[in-house]
Amino acid sequence: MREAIVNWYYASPSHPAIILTWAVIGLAMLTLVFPGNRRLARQIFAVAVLGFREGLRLKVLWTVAALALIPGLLAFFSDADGTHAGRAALILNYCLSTGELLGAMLIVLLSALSVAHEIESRIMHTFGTKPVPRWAILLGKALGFWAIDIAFLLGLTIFTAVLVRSVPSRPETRSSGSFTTTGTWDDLRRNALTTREYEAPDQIGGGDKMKMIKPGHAFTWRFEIDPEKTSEPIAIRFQISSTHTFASHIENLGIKIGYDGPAMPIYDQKLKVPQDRPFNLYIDKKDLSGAGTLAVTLTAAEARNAPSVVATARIGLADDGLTQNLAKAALLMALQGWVLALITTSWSGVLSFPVTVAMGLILVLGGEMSRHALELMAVHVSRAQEIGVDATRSGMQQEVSEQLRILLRLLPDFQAAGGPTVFVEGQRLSGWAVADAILMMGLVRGIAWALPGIYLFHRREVGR
Amino acid sequence: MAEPFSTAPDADSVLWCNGLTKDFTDIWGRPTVRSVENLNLDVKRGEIFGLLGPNGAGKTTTIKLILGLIFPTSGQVRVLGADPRDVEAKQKIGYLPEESYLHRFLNAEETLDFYGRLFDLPKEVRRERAAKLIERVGLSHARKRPLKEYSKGMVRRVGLAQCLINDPELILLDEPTSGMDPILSREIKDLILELKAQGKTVLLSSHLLGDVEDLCDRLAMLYRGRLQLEGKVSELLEVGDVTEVEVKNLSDAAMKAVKAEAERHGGQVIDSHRRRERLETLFIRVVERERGKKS
Repeated sequence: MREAIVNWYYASPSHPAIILTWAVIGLAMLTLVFPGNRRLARQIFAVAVLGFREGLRLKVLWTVAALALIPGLLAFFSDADGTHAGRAALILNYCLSTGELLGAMLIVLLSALSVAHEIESRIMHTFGTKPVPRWAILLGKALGFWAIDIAFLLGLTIFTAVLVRSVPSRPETRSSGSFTTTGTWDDLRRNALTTREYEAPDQIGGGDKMKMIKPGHAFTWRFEIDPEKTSEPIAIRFQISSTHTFASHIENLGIKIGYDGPAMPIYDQKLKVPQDRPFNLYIDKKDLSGAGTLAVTLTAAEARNAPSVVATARIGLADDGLTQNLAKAALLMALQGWVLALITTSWSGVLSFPVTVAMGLILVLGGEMSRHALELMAVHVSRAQEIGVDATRSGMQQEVSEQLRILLRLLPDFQAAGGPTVFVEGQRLSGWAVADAILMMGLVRGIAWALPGIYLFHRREVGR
Repeated sequence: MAEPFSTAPDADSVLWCNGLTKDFTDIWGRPTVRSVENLNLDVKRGEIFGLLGPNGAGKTTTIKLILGLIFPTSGQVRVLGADPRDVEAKQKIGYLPEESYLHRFLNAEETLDFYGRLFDLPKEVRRERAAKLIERVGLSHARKRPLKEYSKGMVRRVGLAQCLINDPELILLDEPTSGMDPILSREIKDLILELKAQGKTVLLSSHLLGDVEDLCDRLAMLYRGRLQLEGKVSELLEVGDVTEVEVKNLSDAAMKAVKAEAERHGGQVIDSHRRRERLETLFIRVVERERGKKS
């Protein structure tokens, strides 16, 4: 039955389902303003305010808040690659990674402590005898702690923005236009916003070149074909990295390969390529016409023109600049915080504090593992496209879709896995896809994880 | 002595239990201890009903069952005509736990305001009641201090105030005078009598015999979870063939004459002594006198 529902949901164009579900949620929210329910809304608000005040007093909050500043400050005072752009990229990477991890930890620790503490300290003997439904107590608590999480994320976002804007206050130690003869792949990644060319002498033959290509720009590498090997096919190995370090793939990378000069290219395609994982393109010997210089041109897509990706499995947002991206990152982290708040608060009424914390951590880490699993599967899709076998492409995609459905069943929390990290994918998703992903995060994780906790808390004797 | 137990709550029953039994279990659900066994209670509107028993008799467990904090193994409970877990019924109940479990970072005003919000009282009503109750329990001077800075007795007083913030019909007080000095204890007893005068129903759980004797109209005595006896305090404590006469300004000669007259009518004077006041009364008088000197 469940399988049939899940299959129906993903097989059908999901818009009607999304509209219907959001409409139901909207109506449910509207009922709170009905006169009969206003009392309940006020009670929930009272509990939320108490939860907020309670959370502010906990030392764990201030410890986490202090820890969250350290990585950003370290990045700010480091030289990074010696350029302003490199330092800004480093600050962004550090601060957002910190926000994602510590934000999730914070909400888990705060909300796991809430009801568990009140039962253990017997405050629930007083609280639980008041005319407030138990689910409303949980909801109020979750809202209160979520408000703290939002305040934390807001503070961290402003802190990050101020640090990035303050980068020019410290002079560059290297000229961004100079040619560098040494460097590593990691240097290049850190140097994501620069346009310098790198050469890694420790690579085979000392000739592997690395280059950052700005969106909308192209760069050409030239290689001499060994005259003694013109009768053999050529394999060109690529490893591409982007400023969007968490993204599994890079969209719309133009790859053109051909003899240097006005001749027709041998290969000219726009591909979705895996990030940080090597892939090969093969040139058949029948396409080669002897010795010469082979030009390989890579063109980075315009970030704003990246095509929509119909995806119910991941959230991806366009790369719209510092302010927008920070705002989106904070919103997505807040969304993850809400899901975690709801789950851990619900279970804190049933489990003890350490067990609830452990469960929250498993959820956070499990989400990460699910994300990686998803990425691995996505690699199969891109490879199917990459090898260009038209006859099998649709079959391959079908197979991967099926695998995604299985994954969805096995790991109901995987929707959240990409949460705050995938904002950097540089993909522009339709609002529907984002709404769908958010809905799935809320429904799948919320219902699958929080509802049992709420039910068990409702059935629990809190006075023992 | 005990009135026959009605098998259904009548219109005057504020609190009614029938065959109430509670077994506590271990983690595997196996019963470990029977805390309350086959308890029948019927508390009527406007009375002060005492639950009396030694430590471990099942008094607190009974109250928790009445409040829906724990659930009965068998038997029925009706509170104000409703199930104990009914949210609406809780609107008219006030509860003071055995120890005052409150949020210690709030001050007295904030505590009462918070609990007033849970009862959805309008802001003006909350303010007015909080101010009155804080004054009534003698904490006006410390109303802005967080509870963590309070003494045990002060926290207890805030607990009592929160119990009354909703102007409840039924008030459950679990050991209300425990940990309190005799003066505060007396004040709380006066307050309980005031509540009765206002028509409230009070269930008072205590192992302090004096409290129950002073305050309660009826009582139920529990021992090892079982109801041992139940009835009106005045009737339970009456010794049928002994009459007490209190006379003021009686000389020794007159006393002898009274004794002789009693014997002439077939009576036997078994004791006569100067009336003694209770130690509690003496203590309060001395302390009040010293307070008066200081002020």
